Amino acid sequence: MCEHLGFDELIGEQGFFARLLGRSPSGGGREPLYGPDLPVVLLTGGPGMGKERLLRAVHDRFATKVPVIYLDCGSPVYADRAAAEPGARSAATEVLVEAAGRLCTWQGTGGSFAFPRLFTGLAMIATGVADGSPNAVATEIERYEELAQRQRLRGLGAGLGAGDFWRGLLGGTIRNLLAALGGQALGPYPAAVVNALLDALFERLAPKGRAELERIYGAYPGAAGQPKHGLRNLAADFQADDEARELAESFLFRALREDLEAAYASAVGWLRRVGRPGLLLNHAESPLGERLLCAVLTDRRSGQRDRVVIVGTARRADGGTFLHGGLPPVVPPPEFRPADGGPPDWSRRTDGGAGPAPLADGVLLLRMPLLTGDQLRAETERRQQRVEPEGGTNRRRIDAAVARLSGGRPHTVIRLAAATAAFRMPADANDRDILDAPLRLPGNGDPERSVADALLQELVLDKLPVRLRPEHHDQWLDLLTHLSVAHDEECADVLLRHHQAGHVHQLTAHDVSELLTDTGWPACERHFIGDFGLRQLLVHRLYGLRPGGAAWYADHHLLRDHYAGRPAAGEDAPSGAAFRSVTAHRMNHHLVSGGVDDVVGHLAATLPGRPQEWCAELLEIAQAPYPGGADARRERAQGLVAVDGPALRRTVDQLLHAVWLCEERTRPTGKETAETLATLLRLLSIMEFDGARQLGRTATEWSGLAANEQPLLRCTCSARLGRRR
Amino acid sequence: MSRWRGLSRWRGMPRWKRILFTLLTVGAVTACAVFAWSALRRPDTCTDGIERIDGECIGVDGEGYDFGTPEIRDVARAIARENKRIEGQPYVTVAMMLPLQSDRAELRRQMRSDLQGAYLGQRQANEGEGEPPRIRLVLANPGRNYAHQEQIVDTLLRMADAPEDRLRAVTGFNLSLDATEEAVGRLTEHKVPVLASRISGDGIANKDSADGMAKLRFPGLARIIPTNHDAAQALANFNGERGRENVRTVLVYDKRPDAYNESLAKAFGGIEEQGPPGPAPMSFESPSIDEPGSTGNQFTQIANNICDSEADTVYFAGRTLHLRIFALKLAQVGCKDRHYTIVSGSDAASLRQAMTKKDWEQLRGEDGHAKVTVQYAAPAHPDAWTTELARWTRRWDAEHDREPTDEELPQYLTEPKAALDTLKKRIETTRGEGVRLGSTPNLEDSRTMLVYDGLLTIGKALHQAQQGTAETVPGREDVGRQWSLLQSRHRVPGTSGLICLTSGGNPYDKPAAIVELDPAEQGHGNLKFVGLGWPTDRAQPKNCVIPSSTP
Repeated sequence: MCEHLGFDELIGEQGFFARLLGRSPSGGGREPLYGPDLPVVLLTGGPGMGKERLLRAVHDRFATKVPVIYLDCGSPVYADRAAAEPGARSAATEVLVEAAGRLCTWQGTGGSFAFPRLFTGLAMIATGVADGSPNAVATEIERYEELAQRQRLRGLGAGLGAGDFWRGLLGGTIRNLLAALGGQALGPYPAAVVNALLDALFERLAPKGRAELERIYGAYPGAAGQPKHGLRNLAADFQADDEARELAESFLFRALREDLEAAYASAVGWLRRVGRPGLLLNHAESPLGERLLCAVLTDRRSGQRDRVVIVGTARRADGGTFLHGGLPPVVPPPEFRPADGGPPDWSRRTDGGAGPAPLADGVLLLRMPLLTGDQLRAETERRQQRVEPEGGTNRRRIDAAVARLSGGRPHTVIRLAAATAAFRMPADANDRDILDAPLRLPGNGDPERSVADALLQELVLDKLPVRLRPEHHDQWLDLLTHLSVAHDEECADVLLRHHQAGHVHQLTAHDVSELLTDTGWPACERHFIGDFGLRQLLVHRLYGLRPGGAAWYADHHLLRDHYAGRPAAGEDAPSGAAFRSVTAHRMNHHLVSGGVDDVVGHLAATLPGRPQEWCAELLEIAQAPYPGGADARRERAQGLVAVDGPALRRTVDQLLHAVWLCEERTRPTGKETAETLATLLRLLSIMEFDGARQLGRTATEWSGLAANEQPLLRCTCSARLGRRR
Repeated sequence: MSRWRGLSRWRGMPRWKRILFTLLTVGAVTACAVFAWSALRRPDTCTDGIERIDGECIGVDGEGYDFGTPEIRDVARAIARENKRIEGQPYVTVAMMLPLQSDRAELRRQMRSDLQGAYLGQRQANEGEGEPPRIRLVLANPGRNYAHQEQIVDTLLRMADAPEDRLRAVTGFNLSLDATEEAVGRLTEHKVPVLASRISGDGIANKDSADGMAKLRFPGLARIIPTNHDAAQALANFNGERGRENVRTVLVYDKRPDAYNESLAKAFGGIEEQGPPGPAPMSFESPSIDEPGSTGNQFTQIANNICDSEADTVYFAGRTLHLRIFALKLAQVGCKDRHYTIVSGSDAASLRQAMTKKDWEQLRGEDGHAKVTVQYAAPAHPDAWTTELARWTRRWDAEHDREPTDEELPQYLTEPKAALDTLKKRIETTRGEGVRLGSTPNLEDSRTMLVYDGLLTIGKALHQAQQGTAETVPGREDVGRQWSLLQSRHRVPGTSGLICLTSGGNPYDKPAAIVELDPAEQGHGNLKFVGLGWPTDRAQPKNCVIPSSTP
């Protein structure tokens, strides 16, 4: 259940993937979406959005009905395998061999596939083995032997399927080829082996095979229609620099897709096969994944058509920078949000601009969905069914906390729901309390740890930005933890400088911001860590880094001092900053690091004469997390804590605490706080200072927002919490 | 929803499966359709080759099937055995066509008599001359009143064309109905020879012309009993002056369209009468051949009218059932102790079988004297030849005062007598062989004798037509052409009299056996042979040479 959480619409009988693959999970036929020019589908979403889970779910549900192969481009195994023969293999070729190998053993409707075109190309690059002897080449080619002919026909020797590609030799066509090649005594020139291999290959080609090779490899750059030249160039390019090798790899991928296309388009395939084949590329944002996507997108842009469904993952919301040719996306690629209904119409843009169209034109983005309130509730309820029943109040409190902290991010929901199934929390507790709940993963022998640790591991450490340099890998979580208190790049840079002191390679706030965007974390104009849930996790971790929240206080003091040192004159903060004034920024950090009284004093002093500006400033100052430990804000807001001073100061003190409580958004506020807000503002509005009356309107406005749990100060991340899409 | 899912599953199949399933489905549907069509088309059968139509078993069979009539089972099997016996020899098929099912026991007994005659005739023909071809006899049941004759004729025509059947003649035909006429018409039109053994209606006969050149209505039809017209003439001739005295005769006829009734009425009406005019013809109307309807009431009126007239001879043109009712009514009215003689046609031959003991008592009246005598021209009677020979001998004796020599005895009596003796011997032989015929053949109702004569005639025609080697069988036209040659030297001595056929296939001057139903003093009445009636008022000429003046 948890594997398919939130995907029912996508992978159901009538869902997007059933239509994309042309067959439903139960084997029913579907009118295939799009085509013959198929878009590459990219699942976009940050860590924990369920991209991998969705790919696996698609694979699990469809793999018995249509040939769907799941490949993890982030896995080091391909690079490892390639490392054994760097001259004859690459990670890309290993991925292709892996995919082809699995399709060779596919046993569903229509039976296994053969890849004679890919085999020919792979055989050619095999001539690049370190020991260039014919025997070594033959041994390398032997790895690909199973790709050349269909499994079921190999024993029969048949002239069917891929059998019409090779001349109808019974049985070991390829085996004979290897024996012939291995048995030759050739000079020490690599060209001699290449020629011998080409001769041996072409000798065994059936007319159809010859025509096909001519069509595919004859189109290789510089081949001029001569397949032998094309194959020679392919082998040479593979040996050359990285760029040339990429061209060779892209041609091999094309050969694989041509093989699949032929398996469907041939008369036998037309009779036997149903739907479309699919390649599911997890971690397609990795360099290897990008290479494959680039290859297929470039081919399709240039008019090459095949029916292979390619689904990849992308962390960036725009699908990845490589799609846009280094330019900021002029028109974003078509995006499909499952909540919006059915799949969108898609066709390649033909605006006929100068130069090649961006690769993004061949892409359809599938925005990974956040969980809806119903799905979220269903998941938490499902978890609770396994534990003893308990009071409804506690349950509702926990559900609300899970909803707020996760923001609908599926992975976070799953983990929090699992951890809090038996958790108890007081009604007025902070949502972040549930982050301490212990999490035990089923079938995992690891000792219990808090759900916050587990989430940080899974969302941050396991999903390091692709472009993050290895020397920063160890620091990354710690840096983010400190940055959780930052609001804009300026204060982020202050923190980064402080915490990277002594390091040779330092990350700037801009670097970190870029890396976060690449990883798929959203940005917010008021918070450096723009994702509410991630920020709460990091804040929680920061407070616990050193006893008594020392790290938290240290960071806030650092920032407070930084802004205190800035000239107060001129006041206006630089554009793009999160605060309207440096003082407000300073007061914000001062508030959460023990400077409540100073802040109250500042606010009481600045109120008369400028109530509107003052209210805006109050919201900015009070938009701060509350440090751990006993939380007396509610009592103080209600005037239950004795405070000295004149009436204005006392009221401002109460109002600050009430606003602070509302703005943190990790506690239920509800009607009670809304009334408090209204009462306090009205109290102020009847006091004797300039512009006091104007606060009456603010009272109505704020209490309305608070009563409906709406943010008083809107920013991107708080708005996203409400929208949950 | 489930339909949609089914469609989706269908579209999810590989094309080869879809094509295969489509072909299989189309094949299955076609097979079902063909099966259903053939099941619907396949006739409901009684047994192999015999269709069940409206509860009757219609078809042609020579394998011993009894058509659901237990009375004829034995004789049908006997025929099948004879067919089996001659299987290896050159044979032709002769079909015996007559209704073989009925609800009424007496009709079923009549069928048995007919078939017994057929069997005996077949045996006689197959052995008598000892020459090929042999006769294979098949039974053809056209249903009650020949209602399904069309199908039977179809089958028979196919058999005529089939080299394994070689149908060369169709006999039987015991009722003069429109359907019978149609059947005979179609058969003869297709040149299948027909020998009507017991049809007396004038409609189903060819007109004889003086020069024999007239176009025949039924080419290939032969009959062996006098037409109603001839029989009426014979009756009138037999009764002499009494039968021609206008004032003492009255005609009662059935208005229902019926070939037999019409021809009889016409024949009776055509008798030349003398003297002052008598009562006008009186009509009644019956609902059908075997239903009494309201005829009882009509007859009461007619009887009263007759009583008021001076007539004592009633010519009755109607079927047996109505004749019985009429006779009883006439006896019941009891008119001044007057004695009536009812003269009727050959159908009256069945009258005796239909009479109950109570009926006889009624005919006798209270004083025990017969009030009504029914006289009719039977096609044959077993006592005819002995009686007539004795009578002739007595006359000869009176005239010549000595016993006549064998040569002096009249051929028209001695030859039929010899034929009858042969038949009787054949019956004995058959019984001796242990062949069961359902009952001992009773010759009195003339059916056995006539059908037997028919088979003999066919046998003779076949043997005459036979040419070349024993293996070649005569063509059907050859057989049909033989009918008119069966005269003079080639006359057929039948048990019912000499059979010499005219160019129209009619028997020349075939005598009618005039019989009377005599109520007698008690118990069942007798069927008494009273004499021979000659249509020409003269006995057949020597050697049965047909005079050229014959119309």
